[in-house]
Amino acid sequence: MRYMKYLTIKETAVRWGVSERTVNKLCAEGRVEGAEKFGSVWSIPEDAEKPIDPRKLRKLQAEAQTVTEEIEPVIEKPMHIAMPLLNTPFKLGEAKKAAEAMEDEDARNIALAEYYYFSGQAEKASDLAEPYLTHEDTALKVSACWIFAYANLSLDRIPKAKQSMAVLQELVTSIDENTPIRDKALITCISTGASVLLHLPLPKILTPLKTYIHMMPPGLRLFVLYVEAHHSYLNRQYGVAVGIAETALALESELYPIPSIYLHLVAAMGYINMNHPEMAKEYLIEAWNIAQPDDLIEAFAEHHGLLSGTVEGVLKKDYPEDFKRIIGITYKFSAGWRKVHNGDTGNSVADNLTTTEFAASMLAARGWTNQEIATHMGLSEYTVRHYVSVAMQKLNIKQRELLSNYMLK
Amino acid sequence: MQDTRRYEFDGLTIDIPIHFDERSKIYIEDYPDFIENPIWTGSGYRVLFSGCDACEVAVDKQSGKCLDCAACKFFTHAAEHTWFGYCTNKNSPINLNPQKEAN
Repeated sequence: MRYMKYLTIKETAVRWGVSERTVNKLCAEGRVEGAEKFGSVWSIPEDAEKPIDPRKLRKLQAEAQTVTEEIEPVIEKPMHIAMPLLNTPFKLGEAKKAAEAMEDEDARNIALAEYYYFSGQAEKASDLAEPYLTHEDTALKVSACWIFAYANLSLDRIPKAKQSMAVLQELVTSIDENTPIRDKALITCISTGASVLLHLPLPKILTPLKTYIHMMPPGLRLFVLYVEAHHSYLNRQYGVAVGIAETALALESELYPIPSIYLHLVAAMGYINMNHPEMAKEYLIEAWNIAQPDDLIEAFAEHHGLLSGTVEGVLKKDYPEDFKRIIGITYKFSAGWRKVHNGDTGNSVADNLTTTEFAASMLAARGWTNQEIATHMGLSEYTVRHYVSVAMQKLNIKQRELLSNYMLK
Repeated sequence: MQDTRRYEFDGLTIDIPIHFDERSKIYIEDYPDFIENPIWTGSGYRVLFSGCDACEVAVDKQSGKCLDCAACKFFTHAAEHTWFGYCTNKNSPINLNPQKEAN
């Protein structure tokens, strides 16, 4: 039996770009398929389409009669949801199938771009997203900007990544009192996410993310909570980060695999910094269980440094081939990430260490002993000392505590 | 034959293997496992990698928390531009050497 998700009047208004009063009226007139009244409150099926305005249709039909050429009636295009695959509670192992099954061509293309990105196929993701960078629909546009920017980090096409970030920045600066609230919410959420995940300062004119969280469709809401958790992590509020992630996961009414993977990973990051490596490993294992059926490995590469050796400890021995692929993506993604992050912030996150040297150094910089690092990463203490010694030589620093100048926060 | 660098300090001569790192374009010293295979200087001090965990009697040079040997006032680098040296703290457990005492 298919589980039917219902939206509130407010959520539907945001999705359709109309007022709540209009939605209420449409429901009362029986023009919204599947809408039901519970008490005095309307609930609208998540997949209900916005009814065509009959006045517009009548007007156009009247205009068509005066024209000698035959024209087709204007059909209102459906409003799209940003990041449609991320917003889909697809069955594990059926991510690509879910993307391909989307009826709307544009939604399908963006969803496939997402699938390719999250499964580490950056080139395909970039190719599919690029045509939508200038699309008139905000949801498609911001989705494309996100996918294109991050895919091109991995492809070392930094100007293209920055070009896409510039489009997002333009959208932010173009927000005014006439911008539909739905668009404001999407632009704010995606722009904030893009900045946070690059560890860049947030644009000052952005409205705080929490203003719009409740307006988001369920999957995107979870991802926005991941961004909030990540932001807390960057402010060294590790307990807050874990709290947000765990609460979001607990409130998940059904599994949205993509945001769920990210929430588990940010919880793992928080736990590592609170010196609970066993909890970090539990969350990483759970993230892997969700990701593996669809090969959604990109997130593990994106977070490899911040997970400080947890990926090594959990995946290297039991999933050696997958681990190798994750490390391959890590090198590419982190190289591109550093070029943007270091360039924009003036920071010097190390770019000449191997992934293992970096992971060991992240922990050493946080005051972990060599023995603790060895236990966590499944290595011998001598091997850890070797990695740390090589890292210190490459960075030309004489004391472990100075490693922090070259590490991620 | 592997390249090495020779260091002479406190009555000890030691050759450290090096390799060229393509990523960083520099030569990296590959220190042996000084813990498993102890080496002593002429004065009887233990040779260590500078990034070893500080022991319980370490004293930070700057009165802070001592994380590693390099931060300890009892540690002396073998040479200015290297990452190993020796511990001069006779109270450090690392300087106990039953075999040496037997000798």
